[in-house]
Amino acid sequence: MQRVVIFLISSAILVVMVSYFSTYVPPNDPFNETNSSSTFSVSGISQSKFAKMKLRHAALSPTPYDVGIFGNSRALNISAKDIDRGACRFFNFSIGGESLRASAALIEQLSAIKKVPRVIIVSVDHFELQMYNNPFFISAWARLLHFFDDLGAGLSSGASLREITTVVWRTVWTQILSFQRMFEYAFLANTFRSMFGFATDQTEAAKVYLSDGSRRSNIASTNIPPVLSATNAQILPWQLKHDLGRIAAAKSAGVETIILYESFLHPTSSKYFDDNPSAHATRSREALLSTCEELGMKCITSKPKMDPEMSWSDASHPPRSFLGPYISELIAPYTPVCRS
Amino acid sequence: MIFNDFGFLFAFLPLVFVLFYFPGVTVLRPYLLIAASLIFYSFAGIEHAIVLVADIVWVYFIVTRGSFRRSDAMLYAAIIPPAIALAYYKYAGFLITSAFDIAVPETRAQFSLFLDVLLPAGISFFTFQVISFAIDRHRGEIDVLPSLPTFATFISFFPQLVAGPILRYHDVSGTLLTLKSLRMDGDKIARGVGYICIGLAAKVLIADTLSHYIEPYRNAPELVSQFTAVYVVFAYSFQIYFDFYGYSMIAIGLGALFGFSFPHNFNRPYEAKSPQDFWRRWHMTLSFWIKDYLYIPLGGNKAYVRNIVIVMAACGLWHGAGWTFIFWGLYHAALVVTYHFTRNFWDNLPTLFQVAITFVLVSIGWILFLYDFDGVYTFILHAANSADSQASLPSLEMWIALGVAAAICFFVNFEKFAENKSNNLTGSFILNVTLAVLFVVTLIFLDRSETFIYFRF
Repeated sequence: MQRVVIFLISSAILVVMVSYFSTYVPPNDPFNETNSSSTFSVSGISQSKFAKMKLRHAALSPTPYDVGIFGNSRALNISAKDIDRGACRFFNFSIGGESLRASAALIEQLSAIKKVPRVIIVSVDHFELQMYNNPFFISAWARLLHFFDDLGAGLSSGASLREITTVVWRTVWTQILSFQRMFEYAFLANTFRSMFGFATDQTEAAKVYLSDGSRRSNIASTNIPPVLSATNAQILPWQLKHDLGRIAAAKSAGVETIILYESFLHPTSSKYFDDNPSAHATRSREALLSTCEELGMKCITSKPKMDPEMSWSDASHPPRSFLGPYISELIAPYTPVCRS
Repeated sequence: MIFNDFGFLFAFLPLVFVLFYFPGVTVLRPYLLIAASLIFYSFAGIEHAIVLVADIVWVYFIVTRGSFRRSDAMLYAAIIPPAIALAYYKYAGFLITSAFDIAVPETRAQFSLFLDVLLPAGISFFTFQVISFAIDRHRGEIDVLPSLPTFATFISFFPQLVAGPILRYHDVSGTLLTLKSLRMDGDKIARGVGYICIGLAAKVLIADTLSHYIEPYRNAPELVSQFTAVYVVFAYSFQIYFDFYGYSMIAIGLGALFGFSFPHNFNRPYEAKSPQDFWRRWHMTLSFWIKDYLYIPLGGNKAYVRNIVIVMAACGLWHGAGWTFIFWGLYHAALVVTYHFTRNFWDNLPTLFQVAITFVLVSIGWILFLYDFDGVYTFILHAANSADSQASLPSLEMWIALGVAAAICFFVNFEKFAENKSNNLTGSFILNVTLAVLFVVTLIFLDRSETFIYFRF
């Protein structure tokens, strides 16, 4: 058994080392507004690391931002220039690959350090996509605390045994995936490069970030699928309500306005789902609207008219030429003070 | 679920291991292993698990009949339904596409029941195992019948379920019958850890690296030129070896974690001195199965050429339902028979030459696993006629990967390393720290790892 113990201890030490490298955040703040270069290119840096860099950037900022957008890749391309709010300080807190649950966790963390923006816009994935994964960027310990919080919310909402089992399984699965992501070669290699002063891999033009936290848009595709496939029900309505409550709690940390909007799909898919909404999407939408009303948040699920000729990078990532003015209009009534 | 997956390595396996050795519930071990194996298998599809369970229940039901050992009819009753299931899932589509033009929509619709079936993972392996059990029992080689849970554990045990080694009941009966009283054995667990680490490294670091390099040529054989053809032949030869060898090592290691000693599947096959010797060293559990249950019943050496042709064609067909696989089997039959008739000449060649020519001939044969007939034809045509250009030549990196694979294959004794034995503490320490490093490095490359090649079979 001695040999097994040596193996396990050695493996554990090595895994801790890998964990250190995988969570290592480069010391420089790439989002620093005083930085002479307004854009920086990265590849091989995980989205979780980006979330930590954005959090650190907010923490280092002397005052909270005026406007912050939260979401995932569907909102990540929105820059300060796109929303055109003049003197307003804007930062894009979106994290690629995450869901509304991650936005809630990020807002909570910003609230805890009193750096949550004054006006918050949250992009919620289109409800036909039913994306509702647990956040990846948080630590295992935080994940465990979130799990107990979810469990409490589920039990007090009368969740079924099946729903509770789903919550348990999703937590376990997220932890396994997070552990797996720790070992991704590309990310580790890039960490080594940046730690030891070598140039990072900068080959992917699509991963160019701006100092306002946004990512440059992907190149528009001409090959848009006519209609996206709707996914099965994944959102647990009581969990959605609970997460909305977590977002609304940011008001106690100085947030003045919270706006949530359901993200847009390519007009063809959008029209199809408007005409044929699934029961679970309708249920989730109703849960969002009723809870928002209860909690004093502005939630929007209606879709403005879109130009069918507009170029999309894919069917679920709205182009910033559309999204920028849309968001700008949304926040206009709440940001008069920082108009130039 | 597959062995080179985080979910398996860090959730499924630790959970089953802890439950297996959990004090006070040892009486439930066979049920735990059956349940774990069915969960493991069901990841490939619940309906496939039904085939597995049906095979187990049916064969057990027949072999436990009082007259089974005296009646040939009962033996056939036991083995024919699993064989039919194998034929239906694996070969019906092949037979129909060979006999009919399924490009015609009406014909396709007529045979859709046979053409649109998904092959249950590992069906070739577990079917051979239930058949061997029935035959051994009929021959009187199994005196004491195991209980149904023990039999089900034997057939479904997850480390060997999907790609072998093909177990014979007597290989594992000792452990199976004492499963409930089995104590945790540090030596076996250390051995298991060694085999798993080495197997994973062989698969992920060697086989998958080579696979990455030959990927462009796999999809487009017209890209090969003279030199790249040579590269593809040898790189694929090492890929398939380290892929299946890696799987077998992991299976042996997993078995050891639960107290089992599985037979080895490989004995340095690329060091074989002849095609006949190769088949004594490659996928040994299949070779021995074919020898005992097909070659000898056919008359063995009495009709050598005929029987070799039959068993090698069957061996090819076992690997896959397709003419390329049959042709691969016949190719090996030709090699074995040629060796048989030129033995006096061949055996007097220098050993290095014997090994080299066997290795080259075997490696050329694997091309039939890589492509269909059209692909093989294109590959040969371009290998013979396309001159190499600077752009088409394999890079230095590719040659280094091939060289490392060759060096490890011919000069490193992985088994000795995997046995994880040392005479002193310092040796044990170095060995296990090295295994841990190898394991963690393997994990870093696990996300690009592919499915094991032998899962197809």
